[in-house]
Amino acid sequence: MMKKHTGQSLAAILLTAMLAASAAGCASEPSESQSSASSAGTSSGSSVSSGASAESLPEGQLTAEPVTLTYWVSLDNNAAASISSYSENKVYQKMEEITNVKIDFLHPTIGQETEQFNLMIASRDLPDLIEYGWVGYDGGPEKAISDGIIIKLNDLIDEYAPDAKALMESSDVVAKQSKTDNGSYYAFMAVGESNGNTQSGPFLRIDWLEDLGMEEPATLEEWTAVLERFKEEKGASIPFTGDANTFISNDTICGVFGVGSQFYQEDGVVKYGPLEPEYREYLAFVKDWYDRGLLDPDFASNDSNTIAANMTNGKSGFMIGFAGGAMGTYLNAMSGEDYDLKAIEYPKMLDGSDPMFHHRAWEVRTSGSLAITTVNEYPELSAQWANYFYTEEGGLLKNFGIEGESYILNEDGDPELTDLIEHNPDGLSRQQALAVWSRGSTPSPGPVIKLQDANPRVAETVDIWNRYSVNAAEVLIPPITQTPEEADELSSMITNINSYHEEMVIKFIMGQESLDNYDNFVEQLKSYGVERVIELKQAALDRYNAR
Amino acid sequence: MTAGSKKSLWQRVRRELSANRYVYLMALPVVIYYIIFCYAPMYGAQIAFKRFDVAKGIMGSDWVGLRYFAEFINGPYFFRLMRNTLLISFYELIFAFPAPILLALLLNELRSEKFKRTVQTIIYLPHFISIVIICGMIHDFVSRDGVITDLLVLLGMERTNLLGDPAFFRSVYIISGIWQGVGWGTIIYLSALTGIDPQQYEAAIVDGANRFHQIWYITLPGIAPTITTMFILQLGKVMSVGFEKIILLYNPNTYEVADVISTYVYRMGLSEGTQFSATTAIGLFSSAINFLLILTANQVTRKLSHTSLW
Amino acid sequence: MAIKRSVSGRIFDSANVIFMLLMIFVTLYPFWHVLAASFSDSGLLLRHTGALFWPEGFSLSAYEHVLQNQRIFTGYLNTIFVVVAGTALNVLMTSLGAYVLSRKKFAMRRVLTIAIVFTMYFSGGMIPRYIVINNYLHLGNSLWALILPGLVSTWNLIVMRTAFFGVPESIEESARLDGANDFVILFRVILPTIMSTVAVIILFYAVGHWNAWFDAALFLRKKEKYPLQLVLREILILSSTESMTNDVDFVDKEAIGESIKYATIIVTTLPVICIYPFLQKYFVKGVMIGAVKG
Repeated sequence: MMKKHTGQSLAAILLTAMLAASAAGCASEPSESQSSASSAGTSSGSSVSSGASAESLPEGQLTAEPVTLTYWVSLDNNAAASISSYSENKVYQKMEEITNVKIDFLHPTIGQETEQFNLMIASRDLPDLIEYGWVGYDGGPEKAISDGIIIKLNDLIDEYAPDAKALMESSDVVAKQSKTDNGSYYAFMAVGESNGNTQSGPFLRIDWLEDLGMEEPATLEEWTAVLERFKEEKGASIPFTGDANTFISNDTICGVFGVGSQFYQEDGVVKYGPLEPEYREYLAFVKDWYDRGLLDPDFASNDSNTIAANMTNGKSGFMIGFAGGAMGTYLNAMSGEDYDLKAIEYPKMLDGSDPMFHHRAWEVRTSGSLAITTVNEYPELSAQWANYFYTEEGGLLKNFGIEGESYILNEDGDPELTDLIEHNPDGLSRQQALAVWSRGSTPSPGPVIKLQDANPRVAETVDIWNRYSVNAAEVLIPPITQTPEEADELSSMITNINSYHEEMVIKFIMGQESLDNYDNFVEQLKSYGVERVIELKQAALDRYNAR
Repeated sequence: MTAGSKKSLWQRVRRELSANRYVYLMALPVVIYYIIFCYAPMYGAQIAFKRFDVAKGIMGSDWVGLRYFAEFINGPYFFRLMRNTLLISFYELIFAFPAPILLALLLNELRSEKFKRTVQTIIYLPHFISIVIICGMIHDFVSRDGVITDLLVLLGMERTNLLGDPAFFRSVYIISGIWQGVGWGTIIYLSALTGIDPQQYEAAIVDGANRFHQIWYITLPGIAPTITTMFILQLGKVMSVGFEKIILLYNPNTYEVADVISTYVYRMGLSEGTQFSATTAIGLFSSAINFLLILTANQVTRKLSHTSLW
Repeated sequence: MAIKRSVSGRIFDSANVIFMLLMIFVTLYPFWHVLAASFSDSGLLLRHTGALFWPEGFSLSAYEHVLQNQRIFTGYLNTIFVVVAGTALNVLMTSLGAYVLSRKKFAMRRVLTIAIVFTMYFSGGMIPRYIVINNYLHLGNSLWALILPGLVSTWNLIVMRTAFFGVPESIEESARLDGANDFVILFRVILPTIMSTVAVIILFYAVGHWNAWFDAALFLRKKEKYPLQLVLREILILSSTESMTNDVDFVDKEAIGESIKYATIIVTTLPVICIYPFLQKYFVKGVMIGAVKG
């Protein structure tokens, strides 16, 4: 009896499910066809935009008939905390009101952005607009144009986006970084206007430093002295903490010795740090810290949680990290306790001159550039729409949200965020609230204006860490693009070089490999093709400089 | 197939079709599934022999022959990657594979049905916890002042961070894997155990067999086909040690023992360009070895135990 | 049985029980750790290293935060749909496939088996698979993209087929004499005798769907469609502060509270744990039916 029942009901369930499957399978088909169905016809959209300049439309409105554009962009982490699409973001709601252009957002999964982007390109199932770090496109943005993915914007910008053009040509550096090697405009760029280019650097337990009556250390020698006294007098068992990257790919300490941690330039010549004799001195210096117990012996295996724990439970008091993500987080966690952190300047060079090697972003942010794809039926309209972010009102909207709600203009005419952002009633942090009310939390098309953080310790990092950041433009390699052939040749070499470099740096510091063998290390790097990599990077840099 | 009964091909086909018409009908949806979702995309494997170019697509990209295979095999890390991948798989076969079988046998010996069910429910739990969290805990436990390190120091080990030390990496990897997976792994064997006829045990008890005899002569042979099948399937995964957990646990200091093919491919994907061709080539190389292994294992077990996949 | 228990048998039993208690402790611990962390104060948790046996401080704010998140609930609905519809179709297709491959008189059996096992090892890779599913079947941004591409797991198919081989042929032959065709034999005769395997297969598929996130990450472009695990995964990523690297364009990220990620895990896992004992009862029943029949 029982047996029969089970068999029957199982079959019934399966049959129902099968029917449901076929029904819903049909229903789901038309969902995604909208953007891909629209064919080329790039010039046919002009009627709409010429209508925009006609007298009949209200100010700012770009089209009489509502137009919907599909827009692929990764949703900022801060926004994802409270909204699931930028269609809930106030900037775009306002934009739709003004321009009569509706945006249908497509967001990749956080952490899988590259996969989704690559699949989208490979399958050519394109939306109308794509905001992405186009410099990272395989073969560079010029290739994206010749691949038929996005369109060249030079003519469109000249005619329909005068404000964007003005900002993207506002200085030599910005103009260089906004174009390809051939002088093509390919996207509406995020342009950093003020001094928010460096967001990370060294910071330490200032309360300890004051207790000890010490000055803020300015040279590596003074750093060592501080670490020694932290260890002896403050009970910090591992005074300097960090992770493997602090010594593998961060320039802060090795820059003092006059070399970059990896590829860098000197008077327009590309160099690779480990090939220079100074790099060996750098390793010897860090090894000395390690041997004397000043450096966290477990730095190679530390993750961000371990570092956070070390910095907050008194084991460590000195590190290199982000203003908000590290320093701000620790200060928040320890608020109300006897605990204070302060950013210090990047250390002076060995000869006492100003620091050169900085961890910094470029004037034109490499992420957050908005391109118009080849399937977009309204390229002119799209250009006009994007141009709004480069106007004065548009810039304010994009960075601060809506006047009178998320920001106000003070007596000097400068924007100030309201309590809606600073002390959000829904309990959102400032960055999170900003991400709902504006696009000011990550680079996005238009001017990028970094605001003063509410926490004074975090706010002052902007001044302290940016003091010499302009020097870095002379030594860091700008966002260059390799040709597809170069990229193909590079890719096989670079993985081996990076792995070997990472491994050996750690071994030298921890003493598992003697620095006497440094020459072998250099030879090995050469056998992996590092000199060829330098050549290829040099070629790209030369093209960049010739822009 | 004897010469005398040889009929025309057409006749044989017709007889087969009519005798098995329902079987063919049942096979149809399954075959369609495999054709659409597994075989149709296989044309993409050719990019292992081409330089993939988005503009030209998979079919239109230029042929480069065995270039990417050669680059991998002649690369400086080939030997190390193979050694680490095979060693980790080998340790898994020796330690992680039998663990759930043993646990299932022990569970089967529990007298209280209620206790057994409680234990079962609880030991499945770690399977549901994200690998990111599990690895976070491993970091905590084996750090310089972690609980597990404390225990080992009591046993006379010198205090160190186990994940920072190449000597311990594989042990940490395998043992934590067993910790997370052993409970879930018992399911398949417990299910096989229920298929054993209880009368066999009763007969054995009458014959005076003790518990160990019962396990050895009745229980184990009863689940032997399942064990064999699992073993063959496991052998076919030797080259594909997953990357997610290793990435979360390793660091440059332990690359020497921890870097496997999948993590290398992962790092390749992160460096310059999108290396679809190279990664496909390496994937194809691993698959070929896996497939060879499973073919061999299948032949061997068919000879030895009459259990096989086909 | 009880009469026959020897001294060594009793020692074995006690040792076994002690071992199982140890197993419970060791495997329950990670879950306990997560539970304790979820009730902790984020600031104190950040400072903490080592094993956690009790919450650091006590705070419900992580739960308040998580339960406000609308996406957890849409995630639940999407996941339930995928688990129910997906598992039902999986079991149907796998039973059909396993039955076909277990027919000793079926001429195509070996060829089909090898062709199917072959797919466990060789695939066209991510891009062509995506193109087939997205461009040709138009399943992009649909929950069916999480169900149809994985209709049959070859691994489960082989497990089920192994169980089919264990069914005595006499049962099938007597059914055939009664005029049963292959469909009747599969669904009315064979499946009920191996209910314990069917239960395992259901469990494997259901839990597989429950834990799956990768296809969802590839195919879904609207967050309303996300299954629970993808929501959870995004939260886990959001809660980790990026370490400093030398990217040209780095963005400072603000971490969300440590305890929130743990609370999310509890909220997404607890229901399975609560439901499981009931399912298990059902499975045990199924097993008994199988045993009686066998």
